[in-house]
Amino acid sequence: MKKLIHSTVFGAMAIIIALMIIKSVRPGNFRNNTSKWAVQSYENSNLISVDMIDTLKGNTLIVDMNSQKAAFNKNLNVLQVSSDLLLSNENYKKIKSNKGSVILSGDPAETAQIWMVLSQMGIEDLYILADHN
Amino acid sequence: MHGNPKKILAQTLSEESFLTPDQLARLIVAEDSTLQLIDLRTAEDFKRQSIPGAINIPYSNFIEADLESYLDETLRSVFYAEDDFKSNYALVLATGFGFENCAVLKGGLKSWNDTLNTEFSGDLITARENALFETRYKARRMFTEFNNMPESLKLKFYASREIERKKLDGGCE
Repeated sequence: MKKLIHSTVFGAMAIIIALMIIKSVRPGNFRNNTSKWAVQSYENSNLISVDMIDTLKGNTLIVDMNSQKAAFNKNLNVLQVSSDLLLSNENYKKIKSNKGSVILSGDPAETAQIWMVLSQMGIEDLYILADHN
Repeated sequence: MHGNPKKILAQTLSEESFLTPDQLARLIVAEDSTLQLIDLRTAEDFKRQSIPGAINIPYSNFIEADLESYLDETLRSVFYAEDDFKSNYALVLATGFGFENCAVLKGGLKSWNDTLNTEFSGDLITARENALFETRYKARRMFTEFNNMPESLKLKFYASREIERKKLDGGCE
């Protein structure tokens, strides 16, 4: 009887721990340590101008949420998407898998919110295009 | 932060999360006691100029701050900064920490000042424009008078608001 109780408790704990590990690594969830993932926003080092885009290394992806379809350099990789569809699995995977910087372009209030959400989900090298209308 | 990112973003991007300067001016003029303004700029900027009734939590301290001691969940917390960036970061963070009744001043203090100083042109003014003009005028006057007060009077103003709020809660018997 005692053995049964111990096995049950142990099994339940193992399931809980496994679920916690899965939750922490599953894409689409927030990372721990909020301040670490928000640090760029303190000093505005996450803000970038159009002139600085060429200085970024790797494959730069521009996520354009400007409904007026802003004109970017044709050599740039642009993902045109509205803010309500940005976190769909397909779009999130494109952003997550990009090997380089990701730049958010659109209304400042929207891009700021999306930057914070994506940063807290663990997306690195993420910037806001601060001077594009 | 915790919760579903999609759900949080849907909430923070909704219309209810944004107050225009005119909407805020109406609430300030009416001395709406259900509002809690949070100024995210530095202490120096806050001292120089702030919207009457705002409390100062510099953004650099915001994440580490004990938000439960600053944000009263029975009130609507409205964040503002110089422009849209920091206030919207704070909105997402506060919502992610479980504070649901939050909003931002769209365009920040810059937009507030621009709106309050807008002049109407033309010979005729509509009824709506007249109402806007009156609200903006009253809000601008309150803003200017408050920011020209000496520090000691400002502190008395904040203390009196705290007493009023406690009275509404049934405190200070």
